[in-house]
Amino acid sequence: MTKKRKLRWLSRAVSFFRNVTGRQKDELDIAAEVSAHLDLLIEENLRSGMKPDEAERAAQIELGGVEQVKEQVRDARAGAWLDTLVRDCRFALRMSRKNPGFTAVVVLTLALGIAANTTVLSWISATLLNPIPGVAHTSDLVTVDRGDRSGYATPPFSYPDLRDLSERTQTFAGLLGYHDDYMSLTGVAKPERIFGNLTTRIILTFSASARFSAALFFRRKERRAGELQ
Amino acid sequence: MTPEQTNLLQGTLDLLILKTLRLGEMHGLGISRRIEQITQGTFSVKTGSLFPALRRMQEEGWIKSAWGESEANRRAKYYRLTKAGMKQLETETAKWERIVLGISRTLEAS
Repeated sequence: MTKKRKLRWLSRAVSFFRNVTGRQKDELDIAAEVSAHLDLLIEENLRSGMKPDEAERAAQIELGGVEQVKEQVRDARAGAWLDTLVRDCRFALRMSRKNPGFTAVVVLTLALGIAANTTVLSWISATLLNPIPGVAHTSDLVTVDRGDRSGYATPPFSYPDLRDLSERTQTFAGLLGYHDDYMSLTGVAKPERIFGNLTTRIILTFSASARFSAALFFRRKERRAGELQ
Repeated sequence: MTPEQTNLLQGTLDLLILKTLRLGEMHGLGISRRIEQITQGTFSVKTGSLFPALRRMQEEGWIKSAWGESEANRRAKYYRLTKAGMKQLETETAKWERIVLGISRTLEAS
């Protein structure tokens, strides 16, 4: 069954190639066959005793139009859709050249539409689908809390708690501790108040101007927390 | 169209053509006349259906064609069955028999 299907596929592919490349020869062949068919029909009518012009007319009627038959054969061949596609594209180009005003409106509408869609979708992707940069599967991330279920779980985990959990977990690939707070950033021209996260491994901060100094500060903090226990 | 003529059921034209060519090679008109003859005029295959079907079947690899001379020394394209065509004939025959059986069983059921 699979072999048979493969053969059929091959046969179709060969026909497709031949239809695309050998167009002229193919057209001649179709024309020759239809006209030969017409001749056969006329001869059949003549033999049955019709007059020549009558025989030809009857044959034409039975055939149903040389051009129509040719068109029907063209539609049946493999790759006919390609033909139609090319013809449609040419038609579209011709028509758009003929009505430049309409074309401009269409192009502008499409451009605006695509731009709007791209913007909205990239916004959705950045905020809803991949809210945390650098995390491949956001849906795999969970928050581990203690106490009542609220925005501010109490009491929070201590650093030793986090370390114990990290060492003994069999459920998670890894744990990461964080704590957010307002902080003062000094050492630059003017002290700055920032809202940031103290985390054990990666640093997220919401002040663009002070990102790298904040990172340094938190790393040191983590080491200190480790020494404390 | 005489009152006894019936439209071909979808997909049966291939089967009729395959079966006709089982006897030997034939040109388009020959196939058409043969089908009319065998079905006693129930089916008449129009040129506009026959040639596209022949073309399609050729592309499927079921039949092959070559130019030749007709009985009256006229050029005509002759079609013959390929090995794949033989197999297709068997498949389609079996399929058709299943359809007929199914329908007659339904009609006979009370």
